Amino acid sequence: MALKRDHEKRPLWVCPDGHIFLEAHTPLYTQAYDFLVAIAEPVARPEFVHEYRLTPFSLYAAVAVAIDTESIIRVLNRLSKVEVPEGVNTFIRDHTQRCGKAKLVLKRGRYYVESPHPDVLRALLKDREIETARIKGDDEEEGEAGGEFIQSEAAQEMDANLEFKQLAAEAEGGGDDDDQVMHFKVSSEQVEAVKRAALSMDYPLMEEYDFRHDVTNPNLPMQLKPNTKIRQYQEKSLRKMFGNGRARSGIIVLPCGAGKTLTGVTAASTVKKSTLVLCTSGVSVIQWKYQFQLWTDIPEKNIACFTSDTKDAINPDACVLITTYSMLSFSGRRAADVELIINQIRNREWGLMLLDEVHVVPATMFRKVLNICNAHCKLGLTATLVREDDLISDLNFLIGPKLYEANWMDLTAGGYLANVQCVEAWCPMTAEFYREYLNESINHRKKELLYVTNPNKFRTCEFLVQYHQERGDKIILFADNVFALRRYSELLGIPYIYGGTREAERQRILGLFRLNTLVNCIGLSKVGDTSIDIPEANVIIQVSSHFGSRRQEAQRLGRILRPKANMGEGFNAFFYTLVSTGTSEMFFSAKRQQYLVDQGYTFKVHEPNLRVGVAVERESQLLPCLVEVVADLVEHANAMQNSKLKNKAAELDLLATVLNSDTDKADDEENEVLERTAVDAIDDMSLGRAKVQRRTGNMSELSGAGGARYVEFAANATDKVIARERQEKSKAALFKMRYSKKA
Amino acid sequence: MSNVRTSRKGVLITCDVPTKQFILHLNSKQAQGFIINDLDETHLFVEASAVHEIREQLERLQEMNVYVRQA
Repeated sequence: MALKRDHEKRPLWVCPDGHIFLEAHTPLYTQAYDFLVAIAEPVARPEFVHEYRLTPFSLYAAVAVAIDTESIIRVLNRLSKVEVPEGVNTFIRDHTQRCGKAKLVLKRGRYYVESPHPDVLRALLKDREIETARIKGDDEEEGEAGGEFIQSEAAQEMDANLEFKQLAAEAEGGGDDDDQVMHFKVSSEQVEAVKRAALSMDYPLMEEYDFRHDVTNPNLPMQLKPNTKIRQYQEKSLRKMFGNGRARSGIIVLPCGAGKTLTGVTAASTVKKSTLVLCTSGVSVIQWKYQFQLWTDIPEKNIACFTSDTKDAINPDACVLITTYSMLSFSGRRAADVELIINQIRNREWGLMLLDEVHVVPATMFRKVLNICNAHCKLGLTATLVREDDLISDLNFLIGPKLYEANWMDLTAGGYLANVQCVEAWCPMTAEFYREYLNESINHRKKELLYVTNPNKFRTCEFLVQYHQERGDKIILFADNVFALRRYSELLGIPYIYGGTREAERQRILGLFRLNTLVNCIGLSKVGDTSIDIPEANVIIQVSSHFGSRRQEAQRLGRILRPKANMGEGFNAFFYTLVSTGTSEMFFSAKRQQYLVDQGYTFKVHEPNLRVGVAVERESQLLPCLVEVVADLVEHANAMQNSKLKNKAAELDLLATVLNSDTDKADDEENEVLERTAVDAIDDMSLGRAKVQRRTGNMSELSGAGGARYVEFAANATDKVIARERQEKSKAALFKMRYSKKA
Repeated sequence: MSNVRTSRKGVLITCDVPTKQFILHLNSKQAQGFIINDLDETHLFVEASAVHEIREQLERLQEMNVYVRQA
């Protein structure tokens, strides 16, 4: 590839295989970056050189925001240091040939297939299904008499979205006679068939919803509050969605903690029609409702939650309904009141559907959801558009193209995300544990338990917890494996939350963590990966994880990606991954970090002095040490005086527990719903949520025969913590006797 | 006569704790053990013929646990 003469001024390299490299320190960086994000898929965006890839989906997304083929090629040529290879030009032309030429527009309650090129419309009409779906005549807009198609003004794209055209200024020609578009009407019942037919002919229809002229659906009385500040990247993403005055369907990708909810709320208050919000869990339903009421002035009667616990009444006019995916996609038989609400959802026309954490929605479940509600515009929100099973491509056609993806490094530099130091600490296995690990060849869960409860790893974890507690940081310990979580938390003396923890207890623990200075560290299992909002944490220690899930790693980082109070230079948030060397954990760990490394985070690797050196090629780079103490992490950990696993005997004890544990049960603890006992019912009633239950049993059970305890004193970790802190403070003399007795 | 010591020729291996466990594991899998003497946590005395096999197995172990990114 020959360089052009003035190549220093140009920021891109375009390679024959469709990869594009962007230099981050050239003068044209910002405009080139905006353009590239719109037309290509980012592969890796570290600090100096970004890598992007042209894929059919990314080109589809580009055309969806009204960037046409010739502009793409012209601008690429203008910005590229080398002549754009002919293969790339052909690729672009081929894939944008047919997408974006026709749109399915919903205007005034009617569906139109619209295009600036009449021959495209004619080609579409050749298909029998589309031909039968077309409705001719008796349309008040049919001004031009005897025309084959109805002509009208094209919706103009916002100028801000077309800024990239200035980049190709010198080659600006004419050819912009796109002001007139043609369309024909199709019947609303057969819209689904029309879409499918067009897709099979390779003309995927982009869906747009003209909400401003929609008079059939009632408006939501909702406005953004005047003190709501929208950040620049949120505005950019919404500009892509509402660029031409209509609402486009698609997916917006923003990092955790960057304000995805606010973006969704703003979109809803722009469309101002009935909105359906789908979340992953009951906790996020409550959070979304809170955010809606925080940022807008929507009245209480227009917002409703629909979960297994709460069933608010749906306003007959316009409303915002927040529910979970599982509520809508449940295919078994439902209770009567639930069925009633589902029917209400089915019979209403929804203007906007917001899909939170859209990456968890597989196509099959989503189709079930779509069966129940038909929304005119769908917006997917997520932080991580990666899945291990590659079902992301389906989402592109079910929801829409990716409208915008934010750059994590830019957001960090702008102060919207915390500056995170990622560290991977390699802990060698101890002799006994490693022997058992090697001998255990069939039971993989046992193997996992062994490398997770590695005493060296435990001591390292203990050391880190102590070190950061002294600094005054808030620490979260993540362990996917519930058995390990329990052992670690009990040995360290910290409260923990897992699937079986009851809601009241969870709230209590989180409240303590947030406000109480004595509770600086908590343990979380898988439940902590999404939804739980913990802005105060700035250290995460990851002890065990779910095999190779990149999504999980990125989401955990999201737990701490809130801007911290002391934003100065240097890092103010830490992400530790503890890995046992010589085990399959090393393999999974590298796979998981991929995504984060691509976003620009570098992982610092700490390995103790191994006499038999293990030379491993890794993506991560070794940065000069910022904190000297952390340099010899494992050595310091092993030299700790007051570790809980100080001597060999304690280690062997732990090993015995691990080997004897019923591994299947350990897993099920996480997944099964706890059997409700008499104690739970009493608990609920005391919280004012009396639930009547019918159960068969003996009379003797009621007086304690079945092992049910009626009074639990300091049974769980939080109570122990609270009891401990009460003892530490000296109370009035009147109560001194009481507390000393219970000690 | 009583002062004659029998001597055997072998190889002294110095390694870290987990690797030694791995070699012990290899030893137990073999029909004929190659370890002459287990000295302490980080030293082993083995037959000279087994060294090649040990190296090979170690390489395989390391490769198994390393993730190479697919381009």
